[in-house]
Amino acid sequence: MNAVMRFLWRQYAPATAVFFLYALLMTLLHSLFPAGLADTTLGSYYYMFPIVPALFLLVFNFGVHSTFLDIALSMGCTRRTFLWGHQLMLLLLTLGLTALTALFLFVPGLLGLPEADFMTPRGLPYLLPFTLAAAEAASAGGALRRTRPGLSLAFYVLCLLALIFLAVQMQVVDEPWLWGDLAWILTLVSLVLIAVCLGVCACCIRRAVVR
Amino acid sequence: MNAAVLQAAGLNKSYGKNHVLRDLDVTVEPGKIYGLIGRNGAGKTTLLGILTGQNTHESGSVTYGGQPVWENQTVLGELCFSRELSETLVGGRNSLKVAHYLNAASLFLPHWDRDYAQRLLEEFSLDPGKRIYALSKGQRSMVTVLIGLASRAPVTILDEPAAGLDVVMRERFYQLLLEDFGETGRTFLLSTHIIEEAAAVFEDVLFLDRGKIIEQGPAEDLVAQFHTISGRADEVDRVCRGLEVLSTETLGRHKTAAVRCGEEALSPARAADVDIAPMNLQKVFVALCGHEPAR
Repeated sequence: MNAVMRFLWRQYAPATAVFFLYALLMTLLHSLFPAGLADTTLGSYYYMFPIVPALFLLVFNFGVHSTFLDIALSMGCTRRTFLWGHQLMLLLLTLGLTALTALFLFVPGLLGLPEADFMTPRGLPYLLPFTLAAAEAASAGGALRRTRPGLSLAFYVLCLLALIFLAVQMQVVDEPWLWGDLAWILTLVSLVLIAVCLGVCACCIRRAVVR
Repeated sequence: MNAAVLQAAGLNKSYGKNHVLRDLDVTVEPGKIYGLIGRNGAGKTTLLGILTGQNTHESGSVTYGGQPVWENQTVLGELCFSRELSETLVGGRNSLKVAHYLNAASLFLPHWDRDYAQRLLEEFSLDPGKRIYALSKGQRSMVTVLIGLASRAPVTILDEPAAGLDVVMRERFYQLLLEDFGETGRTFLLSTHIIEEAAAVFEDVLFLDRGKIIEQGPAEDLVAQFHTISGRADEVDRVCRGLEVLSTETLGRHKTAAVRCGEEALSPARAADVDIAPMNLQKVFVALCGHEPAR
């Protein structure tokens, strides 16, 4: 497990660093120029901040079950170890990226700078299932690409669905009178999506062949 | 775990309707250099993949030291199957760097020899920062060889390691292989098409044909059983009566027959007016497997 985690971390580390820099830059810009950022392109990037971790995980997970699985198996890793190592890595990354989001949500306020307003703290717990769902759907799509390219496309659509959940969620939390129980419904759908995608990944990896 | 016997029994593998391996049995004993020889599409890479748990099979078993290989981390750590790196990956060209593969090898292969890998990198003049798609076929073969040798795995399997290497590098590869074998005594299993060149390196050979291992044994012993008998057609036919004739070639009244027999069975032929010559490994392979490919 240790080798898989270290192997996968080497794939994710550069992008995690880029995310950190992105978050730092956006928070600094917002704190320094709160009025001037709202209607600019940078402002758009700033306000989509909570979606960025999911996008990053989504892009990186397309290749995990093709390229990286092949390399790991060809070096003597077992399929079972790879599957659970990857799942653990996904969970840790999602937690880490959510923690980073939280950090940049609160840091300006703690430093006496204008507070970040891309989302309210109440929305933070929802980031976890939605981000994980996007990442799992991307993993499943990537795993299916080896054997069933047509079906893998369906999972890419599910990734987008999870991203839409995230975007909706950012509005829902502060408008319960408008959206009712939608937040919980979306959370439940995300959890089901995670379970289904994990099952798909497990089935694909179980009989994976190095090409 | 020290080197143990790698064994496959009753292996069957199909790709759709193409039955690639048929009830295949093979035993790879420790401390030998094996050559796996087969025609294109004979299933060499498939067999090597199954032996190392990288490919699936429908039935049969693969064990190393009596333990199953499939999904067995302890056993897989003792085996290294270094295969040719692909220029492309799913969705595009292989833009991973050489260093990427070496890092992975250092993480997953428990016997990985970092210093040796570094020495080989320098010897092969390989730039670890270079991307795989930017390497020539020969350089990709060098990476394969490097990973296989530096793995120091008790059983090291190389798939077409000499493919793409120029003649100087091939010679150097065989030299490195023999040096390593002399030092460690580990088991090597090499698949190759360049038979004659590699023949001197192999202790045992495995001929894979129509999904089965049709011959397995010491290369010298195998070669000693095969001869060509040539001369006047009627005389060749006469002396070959009762011998196992594998193939014949007639040119006018002159005929050449490839036969398999012991020295004793050959003695009447030696007294006749025909020429008897030994066959090399490549000719033996052609005589045994040179038929039309099975469909």
